[in-house]
Amino acid sequence: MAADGHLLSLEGLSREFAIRRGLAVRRFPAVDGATLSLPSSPHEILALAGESGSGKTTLARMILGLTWPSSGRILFKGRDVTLLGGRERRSWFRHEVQPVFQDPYATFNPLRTVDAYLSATARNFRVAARSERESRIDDALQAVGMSLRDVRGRYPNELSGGQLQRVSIARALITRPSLLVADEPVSMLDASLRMSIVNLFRGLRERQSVLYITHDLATAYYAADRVAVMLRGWIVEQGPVEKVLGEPRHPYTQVLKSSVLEPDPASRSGGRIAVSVSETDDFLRGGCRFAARCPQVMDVCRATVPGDAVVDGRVVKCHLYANGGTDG
Amino acid sequence: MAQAIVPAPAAGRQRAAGAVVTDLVRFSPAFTVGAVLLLITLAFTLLSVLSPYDPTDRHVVPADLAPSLAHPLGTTSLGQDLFWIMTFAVRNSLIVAGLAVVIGRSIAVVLGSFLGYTGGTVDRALSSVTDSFIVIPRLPLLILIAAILKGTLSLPALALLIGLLDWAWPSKRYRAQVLTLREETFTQTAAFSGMRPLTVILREHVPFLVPFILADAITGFLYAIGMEITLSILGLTDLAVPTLGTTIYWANYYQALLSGKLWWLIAPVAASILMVVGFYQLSTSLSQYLDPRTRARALARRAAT
Amino acid sequence: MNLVAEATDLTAHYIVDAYGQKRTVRAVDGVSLAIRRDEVFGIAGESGCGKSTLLKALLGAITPPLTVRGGSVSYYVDRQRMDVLRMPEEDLRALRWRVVSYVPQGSMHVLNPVRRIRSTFRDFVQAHRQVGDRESDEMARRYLDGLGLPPKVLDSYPHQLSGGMRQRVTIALATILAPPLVLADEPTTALDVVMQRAVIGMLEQTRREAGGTLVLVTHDLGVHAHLAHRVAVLYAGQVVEEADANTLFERPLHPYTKHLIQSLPRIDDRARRVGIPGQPPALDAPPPGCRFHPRCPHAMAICRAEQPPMETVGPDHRVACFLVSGGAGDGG
Repeated sequence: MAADGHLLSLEGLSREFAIRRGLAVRRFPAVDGATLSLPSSPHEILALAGESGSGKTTLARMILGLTWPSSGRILFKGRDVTLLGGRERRSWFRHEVQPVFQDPYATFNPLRTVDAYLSATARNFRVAARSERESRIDDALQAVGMSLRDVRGRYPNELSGGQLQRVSIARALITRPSLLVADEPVSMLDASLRMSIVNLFRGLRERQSVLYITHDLATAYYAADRVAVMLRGWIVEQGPVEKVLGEPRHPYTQVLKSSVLEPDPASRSGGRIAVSVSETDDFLRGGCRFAARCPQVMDVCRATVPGDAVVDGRVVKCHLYANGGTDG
Repeated sequence: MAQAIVPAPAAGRQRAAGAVVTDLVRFSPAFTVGAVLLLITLAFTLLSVLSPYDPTDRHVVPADLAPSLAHPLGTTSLGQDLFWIMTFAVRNSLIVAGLAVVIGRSIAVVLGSFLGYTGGTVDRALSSVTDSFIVIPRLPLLILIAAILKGTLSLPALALLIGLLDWAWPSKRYRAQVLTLREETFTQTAAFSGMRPLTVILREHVPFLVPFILADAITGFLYAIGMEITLSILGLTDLAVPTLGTTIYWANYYQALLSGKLWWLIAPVAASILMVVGFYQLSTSLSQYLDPRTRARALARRAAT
Repeated sequence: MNLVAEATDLTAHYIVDAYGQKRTVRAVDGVSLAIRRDEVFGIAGESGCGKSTLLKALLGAITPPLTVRGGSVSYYVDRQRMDVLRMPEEDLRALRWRVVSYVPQGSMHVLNPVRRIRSTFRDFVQAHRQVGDRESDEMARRYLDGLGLPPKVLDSYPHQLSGGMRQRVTIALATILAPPLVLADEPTTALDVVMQRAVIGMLEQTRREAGGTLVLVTHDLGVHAHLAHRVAVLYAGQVVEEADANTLFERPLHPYTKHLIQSLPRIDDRARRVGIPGQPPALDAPPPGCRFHPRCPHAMAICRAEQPPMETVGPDHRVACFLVSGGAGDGG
């Protein structure tokens, strides 16, 4: 397989789960045929946006190797991630791909000091000679606005959520990875702490690419270069963030954007929003998974799964644009 | 909010073991009771090195004497000083129970952890085997085996026998703990910090398991003592060696109850009860201290007063 | 009297004394609020600011280790003033759901997982009205229908509904008897953006149709912007600013409020924003003087020494800040 110049490439990626319905067992795809890619250069921040149940977390877990895909491929620097042996995974893959998890307090073992993880990362990935390790760790901490002195010998419960999340990011940066996978990194932090961390991510673009998973569209708009919007396992729209979130084409993206609550009383608006009664029902319908709630639904939407169409510099999965047809 | 206000003794500022113990002594009467009884028991067993008589010798003192200054617990029909016999009895019962717990729980920890991590078909297969061991009626089986080996069951052999039948249920509990720990986010952080699986188990998970295993081991200890006493009372162990159970056996054999030699029965029975009560208090108070939920309830009650 | 509820100089602390550790968490410290009839009153604040404790106090749900150290909470109902914190438990219970109802964070606290929604509605309605099963079901069906919830919801068990649907059912339960005061604790947290809109729409609608006061406690300023008439901002157990929603978002005066609002990202605007340095103080050891001073870019000497008093700076606008009220002495 030729190196195609992509840092990360997902091809038709799917992951099914089985659920019980009465006595029967149905399979539903948490991620269904996801295709997206991150270029090797320049570095960019790709936001993966969606509600809960959209599959964004499952997608991230597959990329990190924490769960296996049911079908499709994940290629990192041209290599199929699922075919990696244990040793390669530890020495090469995890050197290049690092996670930042949602809950800073769950990220660290409450019975261990946080610098134990920093030292372990520096040591196990042989990032520098022994004498240099500490300064490497300190560099990573400085990059997130902290220093080794702040964290030496500290347990997780001695640091605030914001500080802990910074340490978590610093740990991920020690190996100078090519890709950072951040799963809702600020959703558990207080509003007054969020922006500093989000700015941190924005600044990381110089050294690495970031896959930034979030349900908050305003943050996605602020921090990311490109965005992929997920709905019930599908990527329904992806492209540059000013286009997708600025002038969304997919009806779901439009609904999402109009649902965002701006902290501005002048933007109050009325209108009813259709909400699904049960999440799993959506998965098991035929046709488009947004059909039940879509304000522009057509008959074909209930019957056939829509294909991907390229519209105005982005990819949209919607019957409205099939055959490069009608514009919304 | 409740989570934030409950002081966490073990997590975070790793309070020294000494500090934990002083906390427990000051605030948990159960712990004090248990600790005191345990210390008395240990002191008592240490006295056995001072015994002027060999424990297997008989007719070294006049038989059937009631308790007096010369013989604080009286003497037995076999001509033994009951006080010194009891020091050996308690010591031997503790040794048997201790060995049995070490054997049984070691198997349980290794098996439970292995199955918890491996998962898949191996886990399913071996778990079914474990489950069948759980439903085996242990007392009748122990009695059967002991009866077949009658007389040749030395103390270590007895410990081995009890231990080999006491790993199934604990291994399930440990496996459950390991399964939960494996899903924790910090396990993944450890993996992405480059730690190998074995390192992750030893440095990330074992510290959680140890307090659990300790409290659990005390329960196993009580079970083992109970089994030793039961088998010995039934006369299935080496009756020349003094243990709590064999002492009661000989007391019954010589009809201590009917012939008024009550001291011969009271001593081992009282000792057994005190030991069991003491260890149980220790185990409960330790578990309560370590479990955040019960700690929070205790705090609420205290603040209300 | 157009007040429906009032907190006067309320101080409530968690007192913890066990296993050798003694701590006082000063969750609510001298809070005064006046809540009017038929308004939506928002209480904004981040985690650890004491807003959940404030809610508990407003409900009269004080259980150890929470202790009221001073102040009072009153309801004004049927032209009477009721001292909530000194009422006996049975009287308080009679008030609940009839006079004041509560929408907790996480709907599963209210919905019985082993009973259908219909039965839960019956329990609530029949506890306060003399109606039979059929009538109660009809009431519930009509009410849900008016709010845009499909009738099959009544036949379902809670676990069969999505999170957003459960939350809306909980709100319907809390409002079906039209109590004059509804307290909602983070009604939209943990819900998706679309669900949030639906829940907010529903809260608006119930208030519009049945009247009554809604006290909305949430850290999400977007929710306050869309629903609240007046908002009180809580920081480290104290009210730092209170104003009507338009004023608060357009002309915030307290540095905390100002920076908080400015730091929130908005769609269609990628200009750089800055967060507030530092973190909120632990409530068992709050800093002396103004509790925001360690993080405040405008902190003056007086801020470190004294607590700023709450002052009225405009119609319905109160702020506790020396920068605004002009602190005595200019030690800088």
